[in-house]
Amino acid sequence: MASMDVDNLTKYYGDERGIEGLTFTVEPGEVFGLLGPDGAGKTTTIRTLMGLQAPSQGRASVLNYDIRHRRERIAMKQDVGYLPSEPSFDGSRTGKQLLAYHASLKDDERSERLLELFALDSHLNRPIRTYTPEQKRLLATVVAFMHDPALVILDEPTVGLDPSTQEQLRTFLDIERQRDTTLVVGSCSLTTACLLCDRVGILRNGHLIDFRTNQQLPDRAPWNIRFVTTDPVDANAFPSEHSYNVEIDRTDGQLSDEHDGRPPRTAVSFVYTGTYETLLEALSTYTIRDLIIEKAALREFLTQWYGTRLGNGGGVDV
Amino acid sequence: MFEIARHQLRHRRLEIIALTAGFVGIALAAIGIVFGTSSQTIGAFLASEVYQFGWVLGLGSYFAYSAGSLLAADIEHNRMDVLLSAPVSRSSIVRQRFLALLAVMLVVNGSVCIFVYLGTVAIGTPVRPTNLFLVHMLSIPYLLVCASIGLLFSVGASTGTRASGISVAVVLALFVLTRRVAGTPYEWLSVLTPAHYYDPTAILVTNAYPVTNGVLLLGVALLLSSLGRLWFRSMDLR
Repeated sequence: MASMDVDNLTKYYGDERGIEGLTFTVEPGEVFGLLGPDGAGKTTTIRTLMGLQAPSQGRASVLNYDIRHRRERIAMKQDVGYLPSEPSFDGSRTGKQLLAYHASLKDDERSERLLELFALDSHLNRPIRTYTPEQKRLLATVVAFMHDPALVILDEPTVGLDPSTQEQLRTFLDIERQRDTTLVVGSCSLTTACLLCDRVGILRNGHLIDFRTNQQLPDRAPWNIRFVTTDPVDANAFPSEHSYNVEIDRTDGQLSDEHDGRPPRTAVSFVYTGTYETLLEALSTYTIRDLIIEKAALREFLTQWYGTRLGNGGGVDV
Repeated sequence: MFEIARHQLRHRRLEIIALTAGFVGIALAAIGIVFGTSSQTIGAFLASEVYQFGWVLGLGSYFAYSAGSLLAADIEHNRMDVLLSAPVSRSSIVRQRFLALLAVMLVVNGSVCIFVYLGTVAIGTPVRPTNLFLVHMLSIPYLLVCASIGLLFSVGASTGTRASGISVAVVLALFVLTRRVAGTPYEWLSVLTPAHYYDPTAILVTNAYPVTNGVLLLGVALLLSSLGRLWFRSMDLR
């Protein structure tokens, strides 16, 4: 029996489409990702599954609880955890008071262990308003997992966290996976999806357009590479399967050549998805004057995968 | 079973102390200082100096204000998401938070009732205990109506501040309306206002105990708060 069974789930806000015709299942113990750029419908899907808003059409069951029925939805939350994308608390409360409150509403089987794991135990007696955003997110994670749920829905669990907290959270979620907790993760980060998910559904403009297993995902998230060199660059220098959107621009080189005799400069930019070694090897053959490496937006990557140009909110329909 | 109510009450401890201390202070000051210079009976004095304004207007607006932020503030700041991740129904959130407000009403009324009685005994002109008890007891349905108005706006308004502000404005407007139409051809309009059904002067001065009015107010409070509850239960939280 699937842990989550979603059939034709649709949510409209008046005339505005949130999600349409979503159909997917999540198997017990699976880590399933909903991957998509901002506005693609991840949060809408998650909030609908959590019963925070009613579906316009379709049905969904979470651990066999039908989310369309109020009583089943309430009972479901005894076995389900939820980490909202921007968890928010009454700042005047201490962490301890918050956890005691939630412990009175559902079971508390392991908040102490989790607090220790996230190094929050020493902050417990302070008001939540003094917590850093990282600590707040970790506290919300404790709330989501304290009753040892069989399934946890996480909305953008790593967004806005510093790299070390991201790593801490990923390690924790990995341990949860090994304990056979089913995880449903909404994310706009390919890195999170690659590192965490067994399988992802790709959301675009409110539609699920594809499913990929972890093996079908790239090893790493794409990078935007841009470098300036004084060496000549061949137009086909980066035709590899790991580079795309290659642009070679040598216009400024012509001018400087005439005026001060400096060698011509060429700016090269591309999106890269291969290994670091291959990239560094390729770059080392040039005399580099400037180099910028930054994480590419998921949108860029989906463009490459699915061919069509994406606009705001996931762009054109497939 | 009542965890949410208990949590709310813990949250409102300071509020209960401040309200009780404030009203006891005002009432005792009035009895101890102003009553000596007044020619009224103690009942009429308490009705006009303490209950007409303190209860009908003051506490009425206060509970409308307080109920206004009962849900709206949490919805506005996304705090409802974390609470609703626990196995609690939206109905029970509304019911228990409203119940906590009722508890505040009972504590404030009970304490002020006792202190006012002791105060009038202390100055040697005790007020009729039945009258005093009933002026407090019959204020509960009135205050519940004010709180249900706040609750309705708490579901409907986009922010806690707005919900509280509008609720107070409505309760104030209803109070002013009762006063302004009295003795005019539009006096019939006052039957639409809750203050029409709770008159501390009638209770304290003429010993009139309109229990049916109390029941009527209770019915209206139940109706409005149920509307708010059902609305909140079915609304989308975005």
